[in-house]
This record gives sequence, C-alpha cells and structure tokens, in this order.
Amino acid sequence: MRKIFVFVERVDGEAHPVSWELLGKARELANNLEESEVWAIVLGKECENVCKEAISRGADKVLYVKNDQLVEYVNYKYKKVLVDIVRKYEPEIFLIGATLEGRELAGMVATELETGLTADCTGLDILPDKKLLAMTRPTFGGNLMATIMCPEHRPQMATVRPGVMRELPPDPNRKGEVIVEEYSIPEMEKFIEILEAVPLSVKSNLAYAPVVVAGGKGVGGPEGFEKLRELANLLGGEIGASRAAVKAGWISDEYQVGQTGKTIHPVLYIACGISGAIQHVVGIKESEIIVAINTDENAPIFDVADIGIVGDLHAVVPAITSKLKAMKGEVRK
Amino acid sequence: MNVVVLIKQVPDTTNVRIDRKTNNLVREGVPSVINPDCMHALELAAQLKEKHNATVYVITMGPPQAINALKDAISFGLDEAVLLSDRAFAGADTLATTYTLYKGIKKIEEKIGKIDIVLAGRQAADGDTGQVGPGVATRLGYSLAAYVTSIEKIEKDEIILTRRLDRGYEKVRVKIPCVLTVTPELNEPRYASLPNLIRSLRYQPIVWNKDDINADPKKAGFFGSPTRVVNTNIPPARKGGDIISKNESPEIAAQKLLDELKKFESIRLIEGLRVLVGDKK
Amino acid sequence: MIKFDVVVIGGGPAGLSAALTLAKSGMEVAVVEKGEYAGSKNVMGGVLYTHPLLEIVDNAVERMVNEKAVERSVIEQNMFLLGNGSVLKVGHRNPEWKNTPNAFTVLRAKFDQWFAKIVEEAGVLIITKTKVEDFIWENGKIKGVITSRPEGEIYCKAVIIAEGVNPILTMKAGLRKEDIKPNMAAVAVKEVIDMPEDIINTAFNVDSKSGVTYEILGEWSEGMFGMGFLYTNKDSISIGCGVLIEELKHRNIKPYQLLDNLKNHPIISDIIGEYKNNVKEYLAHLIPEGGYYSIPQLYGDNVLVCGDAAMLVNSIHREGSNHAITSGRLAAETLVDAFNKGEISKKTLKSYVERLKESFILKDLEKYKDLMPTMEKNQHFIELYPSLFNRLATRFLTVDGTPKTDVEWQIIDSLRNERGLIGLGMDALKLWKGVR
Ligand SMILES: Cc1cc2nc3c(=O)[nH]c(=O)nc-3n(C[C@H](O)[C@H](O)[C@H](O)COP(=O)(O)OP(=O)(O)OC[C@H]3O[C@@H](n4cnc5c(N)ncnc54)[C@H](O)[C@@H]3O)c2cc1C
Ligand SMILES: Cc1cc2nc3c(=O)[nH]c(=O)nc-3n(C[C@H](O)[C@H](O)[C@H](O)COP(=O)(O)OP(=O)(O)OC[C@H]3O[C@@H](n4cnc5c(N)ncnc54)[C@H](O)[C@@H]3O)c2cc1C
Ligand SMILES: Nc1ncnc2c1ncn2[C@@H]1O[C@H](COP(=O)(O)O)[C@@H](O)[C@H]1O
Repeated sequence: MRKIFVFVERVDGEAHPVSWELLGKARELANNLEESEVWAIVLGKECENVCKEAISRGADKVLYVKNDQLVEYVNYKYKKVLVDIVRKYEPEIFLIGATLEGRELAGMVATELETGLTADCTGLDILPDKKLLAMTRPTFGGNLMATIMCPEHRPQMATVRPGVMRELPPDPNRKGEVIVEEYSIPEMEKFIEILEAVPLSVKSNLAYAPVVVAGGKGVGGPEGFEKLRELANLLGGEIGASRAAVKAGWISDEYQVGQTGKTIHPVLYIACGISGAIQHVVGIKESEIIVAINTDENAPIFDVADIGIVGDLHAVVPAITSKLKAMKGEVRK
Repeated sequence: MNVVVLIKQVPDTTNVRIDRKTNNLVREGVPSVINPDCMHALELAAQLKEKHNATVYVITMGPPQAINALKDAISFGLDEAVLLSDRAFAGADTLATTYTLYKGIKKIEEKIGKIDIVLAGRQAADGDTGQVGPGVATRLGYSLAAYVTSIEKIEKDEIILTRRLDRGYEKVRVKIPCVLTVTPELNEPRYASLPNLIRSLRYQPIVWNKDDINADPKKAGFFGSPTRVVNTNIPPARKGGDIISKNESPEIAAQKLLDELKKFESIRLIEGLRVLVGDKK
Repeated sequence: MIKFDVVVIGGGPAGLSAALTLAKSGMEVAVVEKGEYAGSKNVMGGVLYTHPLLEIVDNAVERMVNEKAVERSVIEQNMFLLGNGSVLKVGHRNPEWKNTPNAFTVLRAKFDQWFAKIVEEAGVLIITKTKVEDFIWENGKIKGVITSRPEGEIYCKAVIIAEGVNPILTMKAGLRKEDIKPNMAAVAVKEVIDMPEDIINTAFNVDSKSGVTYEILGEWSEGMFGMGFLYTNKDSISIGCGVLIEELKHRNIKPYQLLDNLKNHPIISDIIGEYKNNVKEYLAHLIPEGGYYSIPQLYGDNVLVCGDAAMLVNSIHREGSNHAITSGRLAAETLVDAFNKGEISKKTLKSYVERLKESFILKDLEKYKDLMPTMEKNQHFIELYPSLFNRLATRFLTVDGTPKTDVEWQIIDSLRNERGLIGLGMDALKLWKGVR
C-alpha cells in the first residue's frame, strides 16, 4: 500500500482547518494513485475526537502518537517523532499545512530525512503515468507558478497553503482505523522551552468567511474601516485589508490578504480603495465574485473584478449598507 | 560570541514584470537586493557585535554577482563576508543549499571557533520557502527558533525571545548554539555610518569553492537536489467584468451593484444577501 | 576622520568625468552620489555625443559598444514640424556615422553605471545612497562636506559641485544667490517604450547598430514653447517632451498631458503603433534652459561647479551631457594645476572660466544666448509656423490641376494673411540674431 501522510496540526483540542483541507486533497490524490491510502498523523494526548474527525474527513488510517510530551508544539520533539514514524512506515507522500509551525517543522523533518520539500503549494496532482506527485507553487511574489517534482527521494514532501484546498464535509459513516502508536520520546537535550504563550489579541475569521469586505490605502484611516465593518457584519462576513492599510497601522495584520497575508476564496470579495497590486490579487483571485470600488478607473483591480464601481468608497459603501438595511426592513414587514 | 548571518541576494520582486507577449518573466534590468528579511538578521548581528562583542561573519551561496550583497552587508559594521560560489553549487534546492551553507559554516568554525548563533531571514522574496533556516539548524544539530519578533535577553548559553506562530506569539528559552530566523517585526535595519559604508565599498569578500569547503558535489547543487522544477508558467490572469457605474450618485451605484449581484447564482450561499433573491430565511 | 584630496558632489556625467580626470593625476577622490547607484535617477532623452568621452576614456567608443553601455549609433537626425495631422520634415542621414560614431542613443541608468565602473577602476571611491547636505567651513573656506550618514563628515582640500540642475549646494557654497527661476528650466517627461529590435529596424529603416532621432516641434505643445523628441534604443524607444516650467504653471497643464498629445498625434502614433502602451518606464526631470544668462559664479575658494549645476546646457542642440563631461574635465584640470601650484583659491581656480571660454561650451552658449528669449517672446514661432508650414507644404505638393504660378500666389497670400510679410521678415531677422 502506498501511504499518503497528512500531518494534523492541532491548536489545543482542535485541528487547524488546513489539516482537513489537506485530508480532502489527499483523498483526491489517493483516488488517482492505485493501491494507496490516506493516513492522518495526530500527535498529542486526549485527541480521540480529532482522530475520529480525521476519519470522517477522509483518512483511511489515523496514526495517533499518544504522548504527554506532545501536547504542545515543541519543534525538536515533533521533528523527532515525525522522522521516526516516517522511517518506520515509509510513506510515499507527506503533506503538512504551510502555517508558520508547519513550515518550520517540515523544513526540519525533510532535512533530517534528506528528501525534497516543496513549500507553500497551491496545487497538487498525481501524474498518472509516473505515479509522481506534481506540486505547484507561486514564486516571485505570485508572478510565476512553478511545478515541482521529487522523482527519486521518499517521501515526496510538501507544505500546502491554508485556504486553497477544499475540505470534505465530515461524513460520520466513513470507516477507518485509529492506530495508537506506542512511542516513548528518548531523552534529549532541551533545545527550546516554551515559557509563555501569548494568544493574538484579535481573532479574525478572514480565511473562512463567505464575504470579505476589504479596505486599502483608499480607506484613509482606522475610522474608515468602521464603515466596512458595518457592511461586513450585515452580510455575515469579515473585513480584510491590503498591506498598505496594515502598514499604515490602521488595522491589525491579522486582516491582511495577499501574498504575505492570507489567501482567501470567499463567495464575495469587495475591494474598497485597493489598487490591486499583484501581491494582493494572488490572495483573492480564487474568490467567486470580486467587486471593486475605486476612484481611479485605471486601477488594476478593475482588471480582475467581476463588478466595478468607479466612485468614492466613503459614499458608496454606506449607500450599499443602507440599501441593504432598507431591503431587509421591507422583507421583515 | 561567534555569529554567522545567512543572507541571500534576490531580484527586487516589486520590479519583476511579465512580458505578456512571450509570457516570460522579465528579469533583465531588475536590480538585485539583499533579501528584505535578511536585512533584519544583519541588524540583529550588528547589535550583537555592539552589545556582546560578537565576531560576525556573513555568508551567502550564490553566483559571483552576490559579492555585491556581501559588500552591502559589511556596511552594517560586521567583520567578514564569505561567498560560496562554484558551478557545483548551481541549481540547488533548499536541501542542497542547506548542505553547502552547512559546509561553509563548518569552515568558518575552523577559523574562529565554535559558532554560537546562526541568523537567517524568515523567508526569501524569490523562492519564498522559509526552509533554509530550519534546514541549516537541523544539519548543525542546533536548536531552532523560527520567526523571531523580539529578543529579551541573551546569556552565555541561552536566549529568551518571542517568536510568532499562527496562533499567536510564544515566549521561549532557546539553548545556545542556535539558529534564529527573524521577521521584520524584530528591528529596523540601520542606515550605515559613513566609515562603515566606506569600509564596505573597499571590502573584498572571501570566496570559497567546493574544494575550499570540502563539499561533496553529489550533495550540493543540482545533483544534491531531490526536487526538480519541471515546469514554470505565468498564471492566467483572471478576466474582469465591466465597470457598471462611473461617478454616479452613491445610491445609484449601490442599487446597480445589488442588481448586478442578483445575476450570480452563488450569492444564495450568502446569508446576508438572500433578501436580494427574495428568500425570506 | 575621513579624508580625501577632492570630494565630487554628484555621480552624473559631469561628476564622473571630473573624478576620472583627477584620479588619473593621482589624486584621492570620492564621488558622493545620493542615488541607489550612479545613474539610478538620472534622465536624459538620450543622445550622447562621443567627442568629450574620447578625451578621457581610452578606446571609449569600442568599450561603450562592446560593454553595451550605449544603444544605437545615430546615423540619421530629423526635425519634425507637426501640423494638424501632418508633418513637415527636415532630416539628414549619413551612414558613415556607423563607422565613426558621432553620437549614441543611451539609457542613463545603463550608461552612468558603465561610466562609474570605469571611474572606479581608475581608483575613485564612489559613495552611493549618500547625500551631501552641507559643507564644513573653516575661516570662510570650504574644508569638506557633511553627508546624510551618521559620522558623515568628509574632509578634503577641494570640492567639485556636479549636483545637476537643482543648485542646492551651489547656493550653499555661495556661488548662486537665488534658486533657479521658472523660466530657467524646462520640465521634461519621458517614456521608454518597449519595442522589439526587428520592428524598430524595419520601422526606422536601420540595422541593429544604427539609430534615428526626431526632434519634434509643433501641434502637440498647445502653443507653448517646447521640444519633443523620439529616439531609437536597442529594443525600446525613448519619447518625451520638455516645456518651460513657467509656461506650464501659467497654463496649468500637466507635462504628461503634452506627452499624451505627442504620442497621439497621428504622425507619431503611426510610428509607434500598437506599442504605444508598452511603457516600460516613466521619467521626469528638469532641464536647465536659462542658457548663458543663468550661469552662476563658476568657482570660489576650494570649489568649482560643472555640468547642469553650472547651467551649461545648449537646449537647441540638446547638448547637456557632453557639456557636463567636458566641463567636469576642465574643472578637474583646473584643480590639478592649482594643486601643482600649491594654492587652491579663487585666484588659481579662475582659469576654469578661461578654459570654458576656449572650449566649444561657452562659445556655443554665447552664440545662442538670445535665441531662447526670442523664441519665448514670439509665440508665433511655435503657435503659427508649424501648422502654417504644414498647410503650405500640403498646398504646394497637392497636384490638383491648379497652375503652379497660382499655387505660389496662394501660398504668398496665406503667408501675408497669417503673419504679414513684414512680420515674416522680422522673424527671420530675429532668428538669425538669435543664433548669430
Ligand atoms: C514581497 C511583497 C509582498 C507583498 N505582500 C502583500 C500582501 O500580502 N498583501 C497586499 O495587499 N499587498 C502586498 N504587497 C504590497 C503591494 O505591492 C501593494 O503595495 C499594496 O497591495 C497596495 O495596497 P493598496 O491597494 O491599499 O494601496 P494603493 O496601491 O496606494 O492603492 C490605494 C487605492 O485606493 C484608491 N482610492 C483612494 N481613495 C479612494 C476613495 N475615497 N474611494 C475609493 N478608492 C479610493 C486609489 O485610487 C488607489 O487605487 C506586497 C509587496 C511586496 C513587495
Ligand atoms: C528629458 C531630458 C532629455 C535630455 N536629453 C539630452 C540629450 O539627448 N543629450 C544630452 O547631451 N543631454 C540631454 N539632456 C541633458 C542631460 O541630461 C544633462 O545635461 C546631464 O545629465 C548633466 O549632467 P550632470 O552630471 O551635470 O547632472 P546629472 O546627470 O543630473 O547628475 C547629477 C547627479 O548628482 C546627484 N546629486 C545631486 N545632489 C546631490 C547631493 N546633494 N548629494 C549627492 N548627490 C547628489 C544626482 O543624484 C545625480 O546623479 C536631457 C535632459 C533631460 C531631462
Ligand atoms: N543561497 C543562500 N545563501 C545564504 N543564505 C540563504 C540562501 N538561501 C536562503 N538563505 C537564508 O535563508 C532564509 C530563508 O530563505 P528561503 O528558505 O529560501 O525562503 C533567507 O532569508 C536567508 O537568510
């Protein structure tokens, strides 16, 4: 059996959404790769629910390394465990989410295993004749897509950008096996020790919101984002921002969309006062509908927008909000 | 204290253009710069030199032109700069790159003794992998803290620092020797003093080839790279639609937008827009 | 303490030429350049005459060509008078210029970097990304410069100011009383448009080494006094125009509107065709236009001014960089003599002016000193003549069965109606006086 490993990244008792996206993708890859199965790798303790969900999300097997020492992500311990289980089970493919943790961990694991690692992929395919994994990723600030393969070394490793692959809806009837791996961590030097975790002060639902109302330099200041927030709330969505707005200090970087921010694919993306630089557009181009509001009719954002409005966002956005409010009012009556 | 900084010379990606006719990336005339994240590593190194009397070597693996990046780096007031350049190093992926850098660091160690801290940028603006720092740490067997945002204190055998992860920040104790990859949040790179700048302009970096660092050609460059780029292409541009409203009153613009949105089947997926299609739920 | 014999302010053609000349006589020279690299922000149309370089760089032409510092050797020069939809052309083509180049088209970012490399090879230290902000004075004499960097003082025995058209340090050195006035400089805008090499070769009827220049007067400038240009580079063309700041302010027109006019004129738009929007670079810069009357005091104790900073531009023949190179060399030679004499003062540096007078620079500037004011004051040179001449040419060349004597009379009639024969005579006289 060819094994496709998916690392399930965990934050406290829950899996990071990218893990389910990867399982969805791995399922698809397995369908195109004869005699293969999808393994979810879970590290920690009290992760039984995560293991169960992994199966419902597409895993055939869950390798559960149950250990007190793995509750928190500690890079050198995680590396040791992953390297050891890869050596033991010899997977063909190993996928890890391209979160900050994931990229650090993958870089360590691949080097120790002396295999290839493709970073931050946005596309994965199996080449049917060669049975190889074709990994596609943006480089040069999203200007160029490169397709990369790892023909001779195993496993073929990739980190995958969050928000790009689609997860499968949980299917409680799916069958799978949870293997609890007996593993004791050897005595090691304490390379790194966590003293304190400081959670983010703002939590945004940006990556997964169905509607994103985003603002750029044209918003003009932190107050401007209030108008966007109001519309976003009304639509059941979240706000987003360009790097220029983040850099200006108008909004936290949790909201940044684009190459160095989040890649998102909402149903509706409304870009307000955003010029549409390539580094921004790579983060939004998978959106279903893009609306642009900009005073400059030559702004490049109009080249990618499905609907364009040349106008002042400070007037147009509140107008949309009040129109919608009025409509909702009418409907209720 | 001995410090090595890994820097990379990259094309200034803000200047990369696409020739839409040939669908090629136009690199000609695009200036090369020190990778932005590496500037912050250099700044940290300069501070270590000032506050902890560190001996600092800068190292890069790259083509002969990378000399320019090294000279620029010296303007931070650092001690020496080394270029690892050899045809055998060309075509390296991150695994082969970390091998060559590792051999280079080992060679520096022969000259100045045990390296305590290796600094790298979080990621390079061209390749954008963020894998080289973790890879070098692994090869050296050093502790690793990626994405460093601030440093609280540095002692003889440990550093207390804060780093950024997806879920938040994390304050950690890192054992020396270590590799740190740094983020722009960490510091503001300095504007070199004139004496340091002049020294850097006159400075000639050390150049080492594969024999100098005793590198195995099977592990370096193209032959040491498990990955192969099989294809590159310019992503197709998303086709835009029309400008539906130009400098009209906000009310008209808003109305036209809502009318236009109704034409998209997928807006049924949006709670907040169901009113548009007369869905009362 | 940082010490050099001479500090040169500005790494354009003037400063580089001065530094090279000094270094060749064994002096320790630093060029301080505020840009990322020499030439990074510098703009010119780009016709570079070869003669001044031949005097300071061995095998200058071969090196420039082989090291790709220049674009094409100019073998054909044209003057266009644009009418409403038509053009009257005067041109000269001499294929011999292919073998003995007289001028090259250049892109400054490339050319200046090449020149800077040669200057560095001669032992000059070029300090980039560093701006000179002021002078170090001692007993009323300049003893060095203060740069924008921490610990940024440089001490030296003499300074050459080659800062280009904005005479900030020239003023600080006390060599110019007030800033340049709006009538002393033109704003020039320029686009570099990508165009494949073979398309250029066909469109301009040249081979890959040869190039063509157009100077363009007339319809595009909305009646303002200005010069447009179109030059062929290797695989791009430079197109741009310059108009006096004063006129732009007065008329409240943005320079790029004029460039649009120029690009969209049917004659020009035919030439650049579908490539019109392939703009690779957009640049803007000032050109000194004050001519002879705006030249500042050119020397002081321990200090000399050259190039655009000295306003040494002949705008009629678009000669600036060559004057810059020559004046830089002359300033340096003056300094070398003064060093040899052991006295670097007003007295010994005064001979700089004599040298400029002996060279073509001041001679040319003097010759044209009244031309610009003439053209500016007499709007019809620009407003009327290009379109009038175009109409006349059309009339003259249209064969429609009108007897030629009648055609001649029609032409004389329109001349009389639109300007008056006496007016015409006066204009001819004024022009002649302007270039006399
Ligand atoms: C390596 C690298 C990575 C990057 N990563 C990212 C990234 O992840 N995300 C990102 O966004 N950027 C990124 N950038 C930056 C990117 O290149 C742009 O600089 C940035 O996206 C510009 O933001 P903006 O559109 O808000 O600002 P601007 O480009 O300044 O545009 C502002 C727009 O607002 C319009 N406007 C002004 N006033 C109004 C008004 N009242 N009403 C309507 N419109 C108005 C203007 O016409 C203009 O089009 C990156 C750059 C680099 C080099
Ligand atoms: C659109 C246009 C078209 C032109 N066409 C032609 C042409 O076809 N042929 C021709 O011969 N000439 C032409 N010229 C004129 C020509 O460009 C100038 O005459 C020539 O560049 C002058 O050289 P320079 O060295 O005096 O000044 P510059 O080339 O302007 O160089 C001055 C340098 O000094 C630096 N500097 C300034 N202040 C400081 C400071 N405080 N500290 C440090 N550095 C400083 C600047 O960054 C710059 O690099 C044209 C000009 C323009 C704008
Ligand atoms: N060729 C190289 N030479 C030296 N350092 C490098 C090289 N490539 C990458 N690095 C270092 O690794 C960091 C991350 O690069 P990357 O992993 O390629 O995104 C950079 O910021 C550098 O510090």
